[in-house]
Amino acid sequence: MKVKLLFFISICLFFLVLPKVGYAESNYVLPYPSFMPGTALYKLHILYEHIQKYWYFGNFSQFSYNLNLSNKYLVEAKTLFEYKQYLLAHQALYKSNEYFTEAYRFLGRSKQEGKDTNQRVATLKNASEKHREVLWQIKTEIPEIYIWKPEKEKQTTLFLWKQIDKAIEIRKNSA
Amino acid sequence: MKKIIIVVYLITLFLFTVFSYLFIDQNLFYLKDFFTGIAFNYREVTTFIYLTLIFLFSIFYYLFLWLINTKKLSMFEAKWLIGITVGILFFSYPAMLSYDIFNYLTTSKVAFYYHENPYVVMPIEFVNEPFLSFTRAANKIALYGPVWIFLTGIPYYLSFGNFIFLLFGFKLFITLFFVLTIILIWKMTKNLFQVALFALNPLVLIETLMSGHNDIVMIFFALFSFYFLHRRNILFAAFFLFLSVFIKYATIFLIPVFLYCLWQMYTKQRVEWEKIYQFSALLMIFVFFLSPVREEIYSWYAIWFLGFISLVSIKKFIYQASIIFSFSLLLRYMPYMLFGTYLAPVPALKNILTFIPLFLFTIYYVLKKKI
Repeated sequence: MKVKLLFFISICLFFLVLPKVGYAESNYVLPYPSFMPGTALYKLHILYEHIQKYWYFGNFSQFSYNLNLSNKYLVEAKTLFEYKQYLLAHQALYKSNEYFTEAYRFLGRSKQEGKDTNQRVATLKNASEKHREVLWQIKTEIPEIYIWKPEKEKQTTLFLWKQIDKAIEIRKNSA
Repeated sequence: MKKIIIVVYLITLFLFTVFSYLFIDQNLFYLKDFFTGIAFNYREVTTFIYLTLIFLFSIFYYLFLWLINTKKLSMFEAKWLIGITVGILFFSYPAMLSYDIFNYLTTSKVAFYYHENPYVVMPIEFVNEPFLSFTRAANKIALYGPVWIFLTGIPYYLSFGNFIFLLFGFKLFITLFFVLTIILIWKMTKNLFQVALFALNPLVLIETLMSGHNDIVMIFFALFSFYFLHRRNILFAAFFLFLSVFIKYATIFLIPVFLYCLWQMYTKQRVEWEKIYQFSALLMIFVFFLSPVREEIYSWYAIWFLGFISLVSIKKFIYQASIIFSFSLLLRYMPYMLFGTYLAPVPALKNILTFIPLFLFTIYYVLKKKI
């Protein structure tokens, strides 16, 4: 009887705890998807992003700029993964990782300048949690490896899970 | 009689400068030794003194214009009068009626001390920044144009990190533009009355030399643009209009007039400058009355059209109306001074005080004309 009861409690606890293990609950809000690759204005939008980089001078501004773009590309990657556009999604996630690392770097530089970064550290931490939450979710919906075979071009092997794990690792280490 | 008027005027100016220090903010620790709190504890008395002083300034303004009009005040005397006025008001406390100067200082610090883009980062984001305790718009990104932000680097760097130097450096900077504007009006009109109409206007003096509003910088560049346009130097004219627009954006409404002038020049038509200035003044009045759409009418916005009004041959109604309106716009400060709140009934009272005197004057003028 005791064994059965313990087994029952263990099962209940397992199912109660499991969802919390899988996904962090973050209040951080990610943006709506922006222009997608393939749309007419996408390249113009990329150009606009590059120009914006000079507008966002200063370490605090650069932090915001990089974090916003990291968010934007994560959402872009998620949308593309959902549409099974794995190569484009792979590229978008790579960009998101780069911008996230940059955001962290500029936060460090702000701190070196003696600026109070507590608020931004918290923002980055929340963003990191939300990103990881999204990345975990993506990982459950995509194949581990995907071979992208475009017409008349060389095929590419995409190690999707590996890339997701790397993205999670970057966010874990940066926050 | 003339000497007595001038002496009493200068005494009034001096008293006004002293009076302005009663308004020192408790949080402005850089001037804590001058803090009395009188303006906040004796609101009725303070409001009454303010009313008396601005009433006196309006009377003096009228008297000086009358003295100049009747040739009883020479060019030399007028120059001295304006010079001493500038000298006395320069030392007044700038945040008596508006805290804008602190916004200028803090925005400048965001750009030149923290090296951050003030259009992206708000002052409030610098948690331990000492200026935050007395800056009112700390939770806003830069409100003014990039040319203004860029120019503020001059007084900022010349202050060498000293707050008093910085505060009065900004005032000096604004004062320089006031002097340049007067010189420009003289160059464009060669008429002492028209210069005095602008240079001795109590609203212009208080808002520029005391409160240090940057509207004078915008108007100087706009007038300078028309000065060059008059001399057919289109490149310089366009450049200075560009500078003006990117100080505070309001002069963007002058672009149609500017293009119209260019078109007239291109088609070899005679440019009627009097009409151009009249139309520019009207456009600036239009923008002035448009300001409640964005926020509310601020007294210092009147500088936008007063600058152009001073360029046109003045009719009696116009100059009397501008005296009345300048006075009534200065009355707008009274409700807040008295109640210490921006909530009801202050907004309604502000509007009543602004428009009733002008309305009464118009009725009086129409009735007088009929009689």
